[in-house]
Amino acid sequence: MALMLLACKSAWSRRGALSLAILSIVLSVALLLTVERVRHSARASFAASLSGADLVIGPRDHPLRLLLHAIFHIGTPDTGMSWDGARRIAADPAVAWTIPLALGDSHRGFPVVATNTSFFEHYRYGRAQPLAFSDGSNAGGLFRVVLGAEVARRLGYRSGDQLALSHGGADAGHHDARHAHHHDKPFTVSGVLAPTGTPVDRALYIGLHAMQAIHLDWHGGAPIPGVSLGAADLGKFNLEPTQVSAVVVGLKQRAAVLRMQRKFNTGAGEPLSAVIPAVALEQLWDLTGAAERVLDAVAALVLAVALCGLAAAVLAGLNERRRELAILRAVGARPLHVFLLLLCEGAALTVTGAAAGLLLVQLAAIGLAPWALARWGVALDIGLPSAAEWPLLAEVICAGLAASILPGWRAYRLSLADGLAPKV
Amino acid sequence: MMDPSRRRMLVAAAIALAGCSRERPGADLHPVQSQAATASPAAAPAPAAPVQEAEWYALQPRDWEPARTFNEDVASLSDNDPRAVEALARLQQAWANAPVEPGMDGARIRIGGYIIPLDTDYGAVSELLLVPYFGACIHAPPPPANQVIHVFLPEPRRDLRMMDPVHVSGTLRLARDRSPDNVAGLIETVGYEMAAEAVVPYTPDTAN
Amino acid sequence: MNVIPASEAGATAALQVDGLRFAWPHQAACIDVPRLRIAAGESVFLHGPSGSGKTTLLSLLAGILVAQAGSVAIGGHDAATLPARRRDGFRADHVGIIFQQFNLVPYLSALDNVLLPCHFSALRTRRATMSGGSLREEAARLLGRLGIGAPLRGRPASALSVGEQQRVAAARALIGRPALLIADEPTSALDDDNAHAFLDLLLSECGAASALLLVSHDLRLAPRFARSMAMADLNPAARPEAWRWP
Repeated sequence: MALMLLACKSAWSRRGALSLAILSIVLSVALLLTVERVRHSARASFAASLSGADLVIGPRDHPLRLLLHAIFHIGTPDTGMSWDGARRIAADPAVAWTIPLALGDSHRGFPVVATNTSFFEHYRYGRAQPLAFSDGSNAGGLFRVVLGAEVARRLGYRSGDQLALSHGGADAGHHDARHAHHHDKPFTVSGVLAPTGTPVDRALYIGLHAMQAIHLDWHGGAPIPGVSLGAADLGKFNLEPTQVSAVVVGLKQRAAVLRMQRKFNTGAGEPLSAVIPAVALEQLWDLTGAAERVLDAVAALVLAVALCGLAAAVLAGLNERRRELAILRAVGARPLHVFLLLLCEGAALTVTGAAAGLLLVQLAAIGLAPWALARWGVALDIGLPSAAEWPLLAEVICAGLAASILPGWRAYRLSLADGLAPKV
Repeated sequence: MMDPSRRRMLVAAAIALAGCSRERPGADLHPVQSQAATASPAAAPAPAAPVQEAEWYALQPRDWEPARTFNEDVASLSDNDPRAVEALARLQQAWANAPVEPGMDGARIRIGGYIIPLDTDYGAVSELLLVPYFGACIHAPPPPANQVIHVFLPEPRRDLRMMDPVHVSGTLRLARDRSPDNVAGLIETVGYEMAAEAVVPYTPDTAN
Repeated sequence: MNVIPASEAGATAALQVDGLRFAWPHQAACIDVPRLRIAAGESVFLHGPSGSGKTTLLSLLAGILVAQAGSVAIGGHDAATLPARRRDGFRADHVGIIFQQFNLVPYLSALDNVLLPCHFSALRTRRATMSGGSLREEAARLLGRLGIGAPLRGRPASALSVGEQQRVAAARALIGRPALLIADEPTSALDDDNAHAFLDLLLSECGAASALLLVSHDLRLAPRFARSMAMADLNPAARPEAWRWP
């Protein structure tokens, strides 16, 4: 449309004065999109972390705390669940498989998860995808460790490398020299898992017996002074685990999950919490929902401020353009055309700002995705804008049009009043 | 003093049983205007049966009376009487083994209930349980096995949330025990499942 | 030069004004023109010193202002009876305007400036492409005839000299052969040589196709026109006695 072309050329000729206004639109659109993208990515990542599991059972605790700790390795619970309890669960006739998980140690900021072969056999993520090895396998001796994809990538490990675990403190996300280390019992990397985009990528996996073994000569979080058990001595000891953090349970019949949940929640013996993962995640989103709404409101406000700035910049420049508007009226433009011209200009500037903002978010997402995966186990969406982002962009452009109404109206009145002879 | 949750469960069970074991006059299924199915051309060679509105008690066999597990008058028991505890355990056992109504196998029905999400596709619900009443896994006891439908959605849905009231349409099937250690030949039916054709959020307009 | 169909030339007056009266709000009438006729293709010089109401008159003729009484017919069509939104289109179709200075949109090229009226008038676009070429070719041809060479045509208007700008303005007013060209002091910003050269070009290009009404305070231009008149005679309301001096 000729009017749009004229508007673009006009805006381009004043790009110096408008550049700051456009920059503020770029930043505000970037903020808006970032909030949406982080929310979307976090929800998808969390939801994809565990698939096909019916229950996560652990010591009596808030369901969210249990799930966050067991699956997302976030937080430290006060207590654990007995190994006997885990075996009783596994023996229940309604249970098809269980994956016991024990957390506590770390390696250079990444959590160490002690489990058994059931993990590699039954764990699913995303759309019921099983775990796969990109390097090596789960075969090896007692002190073998399987690495998540991001751990191996970030620390540069391959099959055959050796590493030492640290006691506690994976939550800090960084290597803390104050942590006590299990240097006397180094682990050998037996395999590296293929990337999953879930917290699996940022964890290390050892056997439950190995976890028991490295803590034999420890008590209360520190090595017992004067006691040192070499690897050769371990054969004399019972390496059955005593405690686990949680058990992931798959039932033979999914429909039985409600009564099995009730059964484990209210059973005699140690107090347990049985959590349906999808239900607990919804509770998580309910909790974060309020904060998300606040963030949305702030981002919308920032955009409003930026668009006001744009309107103000265009309004301020109208005085110098009265000659230009008079010329247009002389060649036959109606005052309505003048109004539409300003609207086109506002739309073009908003579209430019929004496109640049989108580009900024894409680049930031690509740049930050590895860090987000390593630190939080969240796979940031780096593809094209999601289904929720396009409507946001459309709303931004509509808002830009609305903000252009005031300058357009002013220009309309000016061109009406000035006619052929503006008072410049 | 009996654990409050157990007392609630007994009371709720008594009420539910009172409703279940009464003989219902007339048909359990009443026809509703046929809904156009979103069936793909490969689904059914013959014209699909019309969708019928179903009530939850239709999923129970008419002769199922768990009240028989209560051999004594519950109201006469004191709170911590071991017989009450036993009765509760027997009740829970009965509900766990609640039999299905074989006549419902293959019935194309539309039934209303509440959602419990089971599995998601990156956050969009793909499998859910449909239960007859609100709060079935929060503060109320779980329903018996013949009052739960394991629903598979045709497409993952982002708009469905926990405890949303919905109407689900589809063909009801008896679920078979699929565990690996089920001896071949011993096919035990353990509940209902359905591949949903449509899941419609409940509003007063969609009620009929 | 295009051949003008016989039906256009001489049949309809380019401009026909009868009993035109206009007053600014709360003021006495400043425009009172009983009669004005300009034949098709005629070139007329109107002498008017500053302040004699010539800008107001030109605005009335162009349809920017609406008279309180009287009629203005251009090319046989009466503009005064048109509603506001049609008057601008009418102006686009039938009128070309040249100002004293700042005629051009500074960020558009010379060629794009010439094409401006065609964006707002399908009639002029049609007339401009009548000889079979494209719009841009016609604009380039006009510019060539007015002495704007090819290298200058793509440059932004702000890069042209004043004389070049006036000639581009003339091309813009002429494209599509509107019935009436109105020029308001077009040579006042030019030096004498440029002024004469410009006027020669303008008169020759208007030819018999477009009538020209040129308003200026410079009487030296009058002899080159077929007809000349004074604002004072045309518009009795503009007599010095009508002004209010402090």
